[in-house]
Amino acid sequence: MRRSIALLLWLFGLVLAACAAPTTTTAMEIRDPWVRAAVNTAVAEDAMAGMEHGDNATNSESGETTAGMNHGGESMPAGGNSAAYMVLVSSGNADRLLSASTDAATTVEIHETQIDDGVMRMRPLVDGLAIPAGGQVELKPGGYHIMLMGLTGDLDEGEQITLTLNFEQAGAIEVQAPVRMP
Amino acid sequence: MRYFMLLVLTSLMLSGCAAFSPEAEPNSLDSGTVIEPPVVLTDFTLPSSLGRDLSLRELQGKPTLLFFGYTFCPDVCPLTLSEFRKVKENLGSDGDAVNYLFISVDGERDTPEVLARYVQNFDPGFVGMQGDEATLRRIGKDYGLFYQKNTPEGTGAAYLVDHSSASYLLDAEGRMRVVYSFGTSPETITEGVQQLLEE
Repeated sequence: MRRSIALLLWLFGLVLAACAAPTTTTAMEIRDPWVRAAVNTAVAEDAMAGMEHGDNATNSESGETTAGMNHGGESMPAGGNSAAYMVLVSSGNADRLLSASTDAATTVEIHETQIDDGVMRMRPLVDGLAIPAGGQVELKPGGYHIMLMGLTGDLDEGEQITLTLNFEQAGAIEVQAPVRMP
Repeated sequence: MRYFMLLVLTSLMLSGCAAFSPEAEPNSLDSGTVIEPPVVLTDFTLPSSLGRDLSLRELQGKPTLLFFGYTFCPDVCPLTLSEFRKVKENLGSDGDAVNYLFISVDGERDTPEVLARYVQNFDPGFVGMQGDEATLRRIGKDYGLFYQKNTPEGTGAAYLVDHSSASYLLDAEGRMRVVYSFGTSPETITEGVQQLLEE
């Protein structure tokens, strides 16, 4: 009985979606967005005040512990990173997630984690992430994710960040993503 | 890598034999890749999140859960550490009877200070070690460790690191006993740890 009700509901949903399709061909729904809790690893504001003043910062305060932090002079976004996950559901045409942004991080990229032969590889999706017409793509740990680099602060469980997702067809969509421990 | 495959194959064959022997009992360690006989690991000393050099030998006396990764890693590494956290929770009062160790394959970025903030975010008792090229090369064959820096097109990161994603369970004598592939459930790992704690 329950199953037939579910089936009916599903059919009803399908019919509705079909009706909606001709008018809103770029409908994109974002389900269950969340961001992994993370700490701003590189900056302990008070202890490492010298760090942000470039590669040759003189460590005025007790050079010994912070001296190691500056070597290399990498142009990496400081401050640790995190990743955002969600399900992108297209009820219309095919679309493509091109980029994303948030105040919570200085750099945001769309990446894919691949595990081949036990080796983890992470690759940026330079052409964005394709969502098939009427289909969905899941961003989840160990797979596609929106990588947040250079956190501007700690991401603590219970907080929420605003993410702006830029789609080729659907344009910019803002979502609120709660911070969770995986 | 080849050496590791050989280890895996050998242990697979051995566990195959064990399955047919009449006295073999169901063994919960089977859900990972059981290393039989256990591999005696090369000792090493690295700077650690404890603010001092730490050696593998010093960790003896307790089983150790070990993972190689780097803090810039977006999801496989934090997920594994989250799983370690769940294992510790599952173990209850025995949670502290185990070492939880994260060895960085990115010593350039992962200084002891960075590692301390990173691992302690998962659990204050977790320990991070700053790997260096020479040490990792020397001990890597014990673990079938693979890691490689690269800068793929389209990233603002200075570099990313491809690396092995397995976790290792060491016994209290510092010997490798089980290898868990990425995604193994915390419950499975918990059972493996409990088995070692009962030895």
